[in-house]
Amino acid sequence: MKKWILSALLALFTVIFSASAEQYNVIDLKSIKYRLLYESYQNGNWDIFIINADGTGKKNITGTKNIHEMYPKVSPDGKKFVCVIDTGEGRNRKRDLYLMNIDGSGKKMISDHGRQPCWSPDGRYIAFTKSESTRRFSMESWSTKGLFIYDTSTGEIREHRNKKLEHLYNLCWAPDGKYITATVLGGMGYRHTNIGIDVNGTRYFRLNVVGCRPEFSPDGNMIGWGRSDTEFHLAKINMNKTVPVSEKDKYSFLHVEKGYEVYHLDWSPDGKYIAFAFGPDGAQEVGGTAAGWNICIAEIATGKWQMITFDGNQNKEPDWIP
Amino acid sequence: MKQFIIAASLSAAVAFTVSCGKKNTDTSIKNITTKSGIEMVYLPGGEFTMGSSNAGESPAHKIKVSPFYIDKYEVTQGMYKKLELPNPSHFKNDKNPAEMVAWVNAAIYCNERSIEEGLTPCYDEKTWECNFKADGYRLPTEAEWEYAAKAGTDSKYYFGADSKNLKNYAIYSRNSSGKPETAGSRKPNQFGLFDMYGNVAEWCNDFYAADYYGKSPAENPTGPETGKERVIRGGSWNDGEELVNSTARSMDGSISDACILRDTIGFRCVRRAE
Repeated sequence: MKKWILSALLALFTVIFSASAEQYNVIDLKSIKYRLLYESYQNGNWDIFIINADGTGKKNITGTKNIHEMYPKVSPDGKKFVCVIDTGEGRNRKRDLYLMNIDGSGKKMISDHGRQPCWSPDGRYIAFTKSESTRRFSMESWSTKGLFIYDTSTGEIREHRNKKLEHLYNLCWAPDGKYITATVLGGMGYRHTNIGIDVNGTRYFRLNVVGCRPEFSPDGNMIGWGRSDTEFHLAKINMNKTVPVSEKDKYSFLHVEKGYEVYHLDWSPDGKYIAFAFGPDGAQEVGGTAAGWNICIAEIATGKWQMITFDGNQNKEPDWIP
Repeated sequence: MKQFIIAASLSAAVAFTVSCGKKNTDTSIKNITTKSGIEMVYLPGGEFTMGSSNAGESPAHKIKVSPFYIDKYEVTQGMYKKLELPNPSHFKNDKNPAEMVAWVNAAIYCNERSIEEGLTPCYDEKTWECNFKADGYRLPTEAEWEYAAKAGTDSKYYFGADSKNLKNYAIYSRNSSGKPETAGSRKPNQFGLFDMYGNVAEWCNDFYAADYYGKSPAENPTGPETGKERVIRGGSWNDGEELVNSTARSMDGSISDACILRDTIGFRCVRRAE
């Protein structure tokens, strides 16, 4: 009961904050033809929800008790999605990687201990990492080991040629198919940075981006990332240059007041919008507690943004359906 | 020569006696090795003056602590590996202290080490409350940390007042090569504890409050009941004399946020001895 009241208050506070910042109802959401998937925590359980970009048509597509579905990533053809599923609790919790149809049917395990998936642009492959420790569960995004590629046409998994890759999270496959970007923390000699990795080679290199979770625009010419907990930056990117992102091309796209956070940026298929999660200080990692968080959409051309969910049910990790 | 100095220091430490509560009959400092092979030092309980007249460290006040065991060295990356836990450290080396450790992950390490040795974990992993009655490992209270660091002394440094000697006892901003070094590579204090100053700054169990010393209980204080930040002590390879000493207090957020993890922060464990 107490938790319910707290969640309701947080949700209300979030709405008030958003409205007072004149960020409410400022985009023509009806004109956006796409839907999105996102993760949400309701009745003590994480599930994947589908929603229209204007906030209508919300539906729980997993609906499994005591099984936590999170981190949905939709295939380029929009027919399937990959996600992580947690079972068990506490230190004995286990996180595995699953593939299913866009309506939540046809669930199939891809890899035990799999995390942080992303699709190749042709939709044939899914890149992912694995849990660093199998002794006990860790919710830390960075707690990963290796980079693996699943072939959806054969069901085979191969490890990336560079076997030293570790502590990668937020994988994103470049639209040209040649690179995967990731944030790395405490791995390969880096404290905390963002890197590009050759898909077919062993090389990795800095993007020259401070912050975390870089995501490519659909045409591959831009990236967006979290410069801090409270700010998204955008920039032009050229992966063929020694310094893929130059200082002069970076700019602050969106920021919120201290006490609030923005995370999990994802570009719409037409490149005109980003979806993201927004809410009071909370835990952004997959499965982390983020009471009062909602899904929002921002317009790239104007910088205007607004919430499309209002229940504050720890709504995170939006992913557009092409 | 170095070994001789260490041995001499330990002899002095064993000879050192402190005023003890009625329950504490063992007044000598002892080295022990735990079931999982980790070296710890038994410290008899006693009374000492905590804090100083410096801003943020005042008022200096008398505190009694019960006997406890404390790690001889900061928790190393090798110790993390032994428990098969994710090692977040920036500067990878099994002999170096673990760094980039969020407070909650330090608490998780304590619990896992407890489980490994068949002890009762101290931390509730939903609330992060510490059960001080449990026999497992936990982070030191701020009072325990300062008691251990001062090692019976009353000066700013356990080796005296002259900061010129700091280079012999600590890896800090003036003598580090921009990173931590092998745990225990400088001289220990009179209790035989290495790297109480520098190398990595150490998490304590307590929430931080600047005014806590003014209202702290006189016996086994455990810090404010709530807070956002946790206490950090001892300074790091990147800090100067102002933090690398027995009384300086600092703090950091206890949440685990990848964007703010610091390669200057690690920890050591304690365990109750009564």
